[in-house]
Amino acid sequence: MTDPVKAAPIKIAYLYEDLMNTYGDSGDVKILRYLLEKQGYQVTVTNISLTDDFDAETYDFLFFGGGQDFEQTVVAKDLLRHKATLAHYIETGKPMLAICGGYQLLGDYYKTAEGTVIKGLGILPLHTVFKADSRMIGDTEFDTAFGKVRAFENHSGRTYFDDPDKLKPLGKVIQGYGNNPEDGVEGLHYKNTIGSYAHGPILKNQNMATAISKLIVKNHQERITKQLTKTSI
Amino acid sequence: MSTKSALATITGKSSYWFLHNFLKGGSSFPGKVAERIDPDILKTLANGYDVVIVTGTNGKTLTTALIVKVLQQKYDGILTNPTGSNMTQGIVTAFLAHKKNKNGKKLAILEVDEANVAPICRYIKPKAFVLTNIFRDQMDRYGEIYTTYAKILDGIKLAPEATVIANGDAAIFASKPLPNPTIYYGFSTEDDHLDFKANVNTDGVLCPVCNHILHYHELSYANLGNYFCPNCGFHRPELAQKVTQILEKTPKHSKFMINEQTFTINIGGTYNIYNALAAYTVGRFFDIDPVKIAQAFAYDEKVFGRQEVISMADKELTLILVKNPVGLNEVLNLLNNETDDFSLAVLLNANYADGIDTSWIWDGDFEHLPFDKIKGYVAGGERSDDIAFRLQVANVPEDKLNHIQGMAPVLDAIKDLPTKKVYVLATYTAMLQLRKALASANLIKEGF
Repeated sequence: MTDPVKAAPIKIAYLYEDLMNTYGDSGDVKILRYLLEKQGYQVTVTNISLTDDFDAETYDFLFFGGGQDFEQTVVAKDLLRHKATLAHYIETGKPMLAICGGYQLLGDYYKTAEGTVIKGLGILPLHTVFKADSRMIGDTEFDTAFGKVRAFENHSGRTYFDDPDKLKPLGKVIQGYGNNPEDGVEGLHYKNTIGSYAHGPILKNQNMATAISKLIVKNHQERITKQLTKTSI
Repeated sequence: MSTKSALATITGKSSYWFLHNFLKGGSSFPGKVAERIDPDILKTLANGYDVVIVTGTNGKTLTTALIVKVLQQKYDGILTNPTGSNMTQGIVTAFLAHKKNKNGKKLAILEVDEANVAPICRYIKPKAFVLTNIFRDQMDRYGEIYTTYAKILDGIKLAPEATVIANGDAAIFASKPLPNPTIYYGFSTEDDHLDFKANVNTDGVLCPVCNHILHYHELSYANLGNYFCPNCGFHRPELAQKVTQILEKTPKHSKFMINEQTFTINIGGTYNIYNALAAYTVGRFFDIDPVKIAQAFAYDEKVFGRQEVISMADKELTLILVKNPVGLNEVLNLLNNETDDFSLAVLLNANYADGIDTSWIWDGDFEHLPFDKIKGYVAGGERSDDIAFRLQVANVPEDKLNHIQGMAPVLDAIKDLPTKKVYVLATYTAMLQLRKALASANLIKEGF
């Protein structure tokens, strides 16, 4: 008999895939899909775009990539509609990966190079300040809970944690900048939400890709089991 | 000519002569020397020329070459700059190297790097700008598409009387009002009954007026097509010249109609039809007869250096340069038009000229390769690990994928491929290394 959990597709929501898609981060989703399909799962990827309805609880994994500055300002406005569902998803420990612009938008705000303050989701206590004249571009390397990660960064935003007791970085910088030039740390790791400036894409580091795919499988199992229990009652 | 300009010109010309004859080089150094002596040298050198500046992220080189071919139907002694020398110094060198056309029209067709349009327009007031497209390109060097276009606009603003000949299918070229006379070209092979969005992994799909996502009646590739905004009504401008029908498409040639006339070019790819259309539009701007333009397109395939066929043992290698996701995707589309079985080698480097960030390969649509036709794969170059993993994730069968380190063994790996036809996609420095390896094996001449 087929396993009903395995038969149900793993659902990935790709937030603003058609706008936040510029720095090769689609590779993260492609790699996860590849790893999950190898384990026999079907995988669907849904683009959640401007004006779309969205309920995070119906997905097993959320991905939010980097985009161009102009697109990011447009996304920032639309995104606020989904604050409650995203906050609940993150706080209940479900897996999410947010890169670059996606990572910045989880925080309270970002301030553009021209000085405009753009409101973020305000789910995590962090903020970002853009410095146009000193972009941080180059190879990066950092130590994480998953082991060593090598990637590429290309950002003018400098991200700072406003509550260091609550937020922990994803890794300790060995090479490159990471969140900002001062702190020597890269990204964010809060429950099962990961934020990072690492393109490359980051999940070409298979240690990390495997770890995240395990979280997705676990979340999927819980979601489907819950669904099955509901239907059987 | 001032004494300073005269001195700069003489020094520049003699340094070009020396480098060209004795060192087989000299694409930018003479310009550097001349510019050092007289920073205004370009103004002096370009005096009396009608200049056409060709810019945009993809297709500059071929468009420039095709425009030259087209205008040669009417004019002699056209000045142009060799590929890769598209920054200020290279252009000064092109003027220094040019043998003056004594009686005829002085005409210069220049391929100009996006960031060098403004510096050049400080000295030269062109007769026309040709804008091919703006796609994301080596973002570690050039930044985002809006930044790139802003740089081009800085140059256009210095020459408000120049005619802008722009790709009308690129919404970005209609995003800012310009005082210049403007001519648009584009594709019009469908009527307006369709209504759809671009693929999710496409850049530049926001309406510049109201920031909603653009829809299309027709889409050629990437974000190029007959766009419109369902929210505010912003839409593609009226086209002066249009491709009205695609008749044949193979990896080696395309046959299509512009307005009522049939054209053939001996190179594949929708992007090259756009380049031909841009050249056609410039030809019509200079009043060249469409029949003559068709002859110019059909005449010679040597201008198509970026897609070159080389014989190696029993193999027929087609070498194609790749540098950014849109270009890569168009090449991958081209492979879908191949009717024979073939093999695929992808050589990836990440030096400065390639772009030091390799993440763009993940936006390449390797998932839709014609897997049934491809009998063998080679992943090579200095970043072969990255491209090998990319191909693996695209579900290239592991037993058909040969992962090679270093360039010399790549030639052997290519020789071992199971088909006669081999497509070799390479980034800029990987292509140079491959050419060097081919030259050492006496398969091509050094340089070209």
